[in-house]
Amino acid sequence: MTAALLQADDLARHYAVRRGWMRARATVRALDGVSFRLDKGRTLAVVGESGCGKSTLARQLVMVERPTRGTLAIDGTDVGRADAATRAAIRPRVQMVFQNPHASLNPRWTIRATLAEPLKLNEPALDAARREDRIAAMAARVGLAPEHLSRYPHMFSGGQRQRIAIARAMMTSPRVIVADEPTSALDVSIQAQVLNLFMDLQDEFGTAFVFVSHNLAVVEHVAHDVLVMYFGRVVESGPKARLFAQPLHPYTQALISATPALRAADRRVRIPIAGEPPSPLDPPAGCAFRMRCPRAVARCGDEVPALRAVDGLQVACHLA
Amino acid sequence: MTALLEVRNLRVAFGDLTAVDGLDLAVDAGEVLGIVGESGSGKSVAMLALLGLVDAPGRVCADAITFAGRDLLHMSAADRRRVVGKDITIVFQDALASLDPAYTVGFQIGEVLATHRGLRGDARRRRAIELLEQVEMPDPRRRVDAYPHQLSGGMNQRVTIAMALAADPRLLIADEPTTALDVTVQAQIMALLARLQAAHGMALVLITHDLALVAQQARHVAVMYAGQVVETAPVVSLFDAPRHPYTAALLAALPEHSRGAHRLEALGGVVPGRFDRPRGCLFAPRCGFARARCRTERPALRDGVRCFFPLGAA
Amino acid sequence: MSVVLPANAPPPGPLAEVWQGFAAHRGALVALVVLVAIGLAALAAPWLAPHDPIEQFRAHMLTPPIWADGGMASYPLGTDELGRCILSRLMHGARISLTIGALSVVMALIPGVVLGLLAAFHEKTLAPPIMRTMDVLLALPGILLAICVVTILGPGLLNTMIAIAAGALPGTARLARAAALGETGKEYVTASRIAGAGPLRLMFVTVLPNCIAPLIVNATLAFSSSVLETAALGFLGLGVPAPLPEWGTMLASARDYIARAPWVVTMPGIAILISVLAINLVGDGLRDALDPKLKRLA
Repeated sequence: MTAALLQADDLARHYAVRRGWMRARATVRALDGVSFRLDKGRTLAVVGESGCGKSTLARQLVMVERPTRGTLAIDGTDVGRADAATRAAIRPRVQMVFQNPHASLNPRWTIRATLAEPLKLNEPALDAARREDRIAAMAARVGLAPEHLSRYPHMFSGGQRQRIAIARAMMTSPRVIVADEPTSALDVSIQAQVLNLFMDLQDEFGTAFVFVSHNLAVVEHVAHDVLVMYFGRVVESGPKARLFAQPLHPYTQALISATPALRAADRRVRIPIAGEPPSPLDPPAGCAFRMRCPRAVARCGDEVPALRAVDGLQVACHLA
Repeated sequence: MTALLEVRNLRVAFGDLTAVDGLDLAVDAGEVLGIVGESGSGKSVAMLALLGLVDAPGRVCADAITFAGRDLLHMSAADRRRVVGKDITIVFQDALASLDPAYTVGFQIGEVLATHRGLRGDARRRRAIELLEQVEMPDPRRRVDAYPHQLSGGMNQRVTIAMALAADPRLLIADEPTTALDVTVQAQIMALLARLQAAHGMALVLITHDLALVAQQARHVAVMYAGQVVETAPVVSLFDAPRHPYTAALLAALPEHSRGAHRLEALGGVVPGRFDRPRGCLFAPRCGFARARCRTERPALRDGVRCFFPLGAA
Repeated sequence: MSVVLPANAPPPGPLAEVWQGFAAHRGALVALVVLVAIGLAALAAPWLAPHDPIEQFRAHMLTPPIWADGGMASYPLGTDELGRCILSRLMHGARISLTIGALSVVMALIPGVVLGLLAAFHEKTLAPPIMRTMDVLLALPGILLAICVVTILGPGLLNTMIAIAAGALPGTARLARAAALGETGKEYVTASRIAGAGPLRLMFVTVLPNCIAPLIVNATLAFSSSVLETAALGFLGLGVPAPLPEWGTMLASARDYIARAPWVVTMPGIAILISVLAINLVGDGLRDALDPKLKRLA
C-alpha cells in the first residue's frame, strides 16, 4: 500500500485547564484518539457540532500545535515528533482556509502582500519578478482582476475574501488544504461559486482536501469520505455514499435527521435528541453520547466503544 | 379575512443606500411566513423598520403598515412601545448579544413581565420559571438565576424566546433564530417554535437564508432580493415550481439540488449595492432570461411574482 | 469565471480615508493648522525671530507688549526682567519644547512597543517580569519620576528627554501589549504562522501594523503631556538650564513680576496653553479618524 498523503493514528490533544486557585487542574480532552488516512486528490469531510474537536484537529493538521499523543505523518514524515526545521520544511505542503473571511486576511496588507507572504517565506530564492508572475497567475485563477491586488481586504465582499484566502493557501502548491468551514459564513449563491472553485482546483492540481463542516448538504456534495466526530473522538467514518445511505451510529442518524431537507421526500423522521454535548471539564464515563442517545443501554456507561468495521463503515457503538 | 399584519410599499433608505425598496407583505393570524433572502436583500432591515426600530439617519416611509387594524406607521412612540414587545415581539440571531450580560436571565424575563403584564415579586418569578419550562430549558429553577454567559447558545436562545412569549404576542418575528446554533440544537429550537406557535395560535415570521429550513417550517414564503419581494407563494409550489428566475437560481445553487453533478450551478455577479442599482429590474444583470424590457422597466409585484416573464408561464 | 469588482473607481487607500475622517473634525483641522504654524515658527526661529533670545537689552527691561502703553515696535511681545525679547524667546522656546516633546515620545514609543509586543507574544515567560516592571514605573507619579531621573542624571536637554520618556514608557508598553493581545487571537495571525512566519516576523510585520492606531493616538497625547512636563520641570528649575529660553523656565523666573509686569508670565503661559490644546485636539481628531476605520476593519 502506497504511503498516504496524510496519515493520522490515535491523534490526541489535551489542554490543562486551571479551575481556580486551590482546585486541581482539569484536563480538557479536545481531541482524544482520531485516526484516518487521506490520499492524493481525495476530499475527507470532518463533520460534527461545536465542541467535537474538529477545529482542534484542523490545527493539528496544519502544525500549529503539537499532538499530546499519537502520530501524524505528512507525506510519510512523522511531524508530531519532528524538530522545528523539519516542520518548517513540510509547512508549504499543508495549508489552511479559515471560516471567517473577515478575519483571515491581514487588514493592513494589500492583497499582493498577503499572497506574497507564503512565497517569501518558503521560496526565498524567487526573485521579485517571478514572484509577481506567480501572484498574478493565482489571482486570475481564483477570479480576481489585476487591479484587486493593490487593494485592501475591507474593500472586498465575504465571497471575494474567501477566494483571496484560497489563493493564498494555493500559493505554495500544497498537497493538502485544510478548509475549516470555508463557506459557513457565505450566502448560498456565493457558496456555490466557492465550492466550484474548490472542485476545479482539485481537478486541476490534484490537491487533497480536509473539509471541516457542519453543513451536511455541502459535505454530501464535496466529500469522498466522511469522518463524524463527537466529543473529541470519531464515532463513525467511511465512504460518503455508504454513510449517508445508511448510517449506523445513533449520533450520525440524529444529525442527518435533524438537517432540514428541501424536498418532503428527503425528509427523515426526526430522531429527537435532547440536551447538549457534555461539558469537556466533566466527561461522562463510557460512551460520551450516551446521555442523549435514544438507544443507550447499561453497557454504554461502562465501556468506551471502540471503532470497528461494520458493514462498510467504521463505527464506535456497542449496538451497531 | 384581513391580514394580521399588512405592509404596503415600505421603503427604507440610509443616505443614498436603499435597503428596502417597495416591500409588500401580508401575514395572516396564526400562519407561518418564511422570508428568504441573502445578504443585501433587506430582510432584517425591513423587520426593524416596521417595528419602528430604525433610527435616523435611516428614513422609513410606506403607504401603510397596519397591525390588527391599527396604523403602526403613524403611531406615537409611546403607543408603539405598548404594541412592540407585547403583541409583536422579535427574536434575533445572536442570543448572547440580545441579552444584557449584567443581569440574570430571570431578571430580564421579569422585566418584560413587569412592563407588559404588571407582575411583581413572587408572581413574577413564578411566571418566569413557568416560561422557562415552556421553552424546555433544562433545570429551570436553577437556570432562572444564571447569567447569560453561563449558558450555552441554545439555552440563551430559549431565554430570548421566553422573553418574546412573556407578553403572549400575536406575532413573533424570528430573525435567523438558529443560524448560530448547531444543527441538532436548531432542530430542537425549531420544533419548539412550531409547538408554541400551534399552542398559542400566534403568527410566526421566520427570516432566514436557509431555504431548507423554510421548506420544512413555513406555510407561505416570500423571497427577497435587493430590498424587494420578488416572489411569494405557498411553500410547496415555491420549491416545486419557482416562478421568479432568482428563486430558481437560488434553488439550483444549493448543494442538495446538484446531487451527483460535479459542479454547482453558481449564480454569477453580486447583489446591486449603493452605486450600481439598475434602471430596470434589479435582478436583470444576473438573470439568464432577461430581455430588453427587463432592462428598462421595473416590474411590479403581480400575482405573487415580480417579473415580466415568470418561469413556467405560457 | 465571472470577475466581480467591488466598485467602479478604486476606493480610497487607508491614508486617504484617515485624512477624510480627520478633516470631518473641524476643531482638529484648526488645531492642525495652529500646530503647523507653531512648528514652522520654531523651525524658522533663528531667521524669523526679531532678536537673539539670550541678548539682554538693559535699556529696555520690562517693556510692555506693543499694544499696551509704553510698548515698542521692536519688541512686539515686550521684554522680560533682563531685557530679553519675549517673542524671540518664545519662538526659540518652541524649538526646545517641540524637540523635547517629539524625541521623548519616540524614546518612549520604541522600547514601549518592543516590550509590549514581547509581553503579548510570550504571555507565560516574558510578560510577568516586563509588566511588573511597568507597574512599578506606573506607581510613581510622572513628575516625581522625572525629578528623580533628572536628579540622578543631572540637568540638561537629553536628560530631560530621558526623564519624560521614562514616565511615558509604561503606558505605551501596556497599550502595545493590549492591542497586540487583541490581534494575536485573530485568524490572519494563524494564517501567517501556517505560511511559516517566525516569532519576530509575526510581531513586527504581521501584528504591529494593526496595532498602530491606538499607539498613534497615545503618542499624540503623550506629546502634549511631555510639553507640560518639560514646562513643569523647567518651572522647578530641574529641566533645561538657563539661559536657554524654555517656556517653563521663563514662567519660573517671572514669578516675582506677576503684579508689576504680567505679560512676562502670561506670554509663556499662553504659549504652553495653545500648544497643548492644539496637540490634544489633533490627537482627538486622529482618534476619531482611526476608530471608525478600526470598527470597519474588525
